[in-house]
Amino acid sequence: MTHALRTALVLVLPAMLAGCGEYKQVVEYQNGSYVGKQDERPWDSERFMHDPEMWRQVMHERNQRQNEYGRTGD
Amino acid sequence: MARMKFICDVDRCIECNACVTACKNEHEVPWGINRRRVITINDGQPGEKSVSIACMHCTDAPCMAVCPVNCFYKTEDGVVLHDKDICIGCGYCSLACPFDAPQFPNSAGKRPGEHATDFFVARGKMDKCTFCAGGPEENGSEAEFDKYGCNRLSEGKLPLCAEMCSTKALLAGDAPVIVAIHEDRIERRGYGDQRWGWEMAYGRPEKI
Repeated sequence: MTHALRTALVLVLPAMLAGCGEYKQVVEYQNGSYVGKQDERPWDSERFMHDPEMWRQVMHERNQRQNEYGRTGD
Repeated sequence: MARMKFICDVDRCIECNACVTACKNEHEVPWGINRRRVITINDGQPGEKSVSIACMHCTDAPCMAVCPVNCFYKTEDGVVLHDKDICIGCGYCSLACPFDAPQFPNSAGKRPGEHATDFFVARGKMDKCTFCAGGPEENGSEAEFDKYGCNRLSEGKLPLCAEMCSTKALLAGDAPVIVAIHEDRIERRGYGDQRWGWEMAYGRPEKI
């Protein structure tokens, strides 16, 4: 009987002590990566002939039009 | 590589809401969703200021960081976009965004006034400003327009809200160019060097 009790204690005690362990409660955040569909780039068209520099040049000129001082030449 | 940003010059904004209207019309944004809106501070008081707000396409975008399904991506030009086919409408991005940019339609195509019966679809897929760059569909396709609106960038145009701003308070485009335009203005008028929301949106290093 004593032997059986001792064996049971030896088996159960580690499991009980494990409950006293200190575990990290905060989830460590990991940067995710995009899982959706791939997008086309703005210059991926016949108009820009898949040339990013051509697109950027057009956008740059368009950007400059937001400056009204540039329009009037003031 | 261009780095697309917005500047709202609060010393020029006259709260006409043309940017809001242009955006809604151009992208046929449904009722209840405002990708862009104008906020007025100290309304009717001396020193009243108005600012036009939408997604700022942050350098280190918090919406991208918190999305549990990783539906956000950033284009080569720094525009923050998302895939609506992946979005589950959880609303985390809305809580994380300092500009309250993410918008959610009523459930499953319900119109205002119609009540959602299913709690779990009470919030539809997130919608926000795309910098008029569409989304992850074929450029200029019907599918892209239905989900994300017009793709003006692929047509060599800038966001309509900025392009049709009557006082040119709202500037959009490549950061060095619009900053130069804004600085030129400040130098000429001698006041108003504020770039509202810039530190919040672009104060942290770029993450692509």
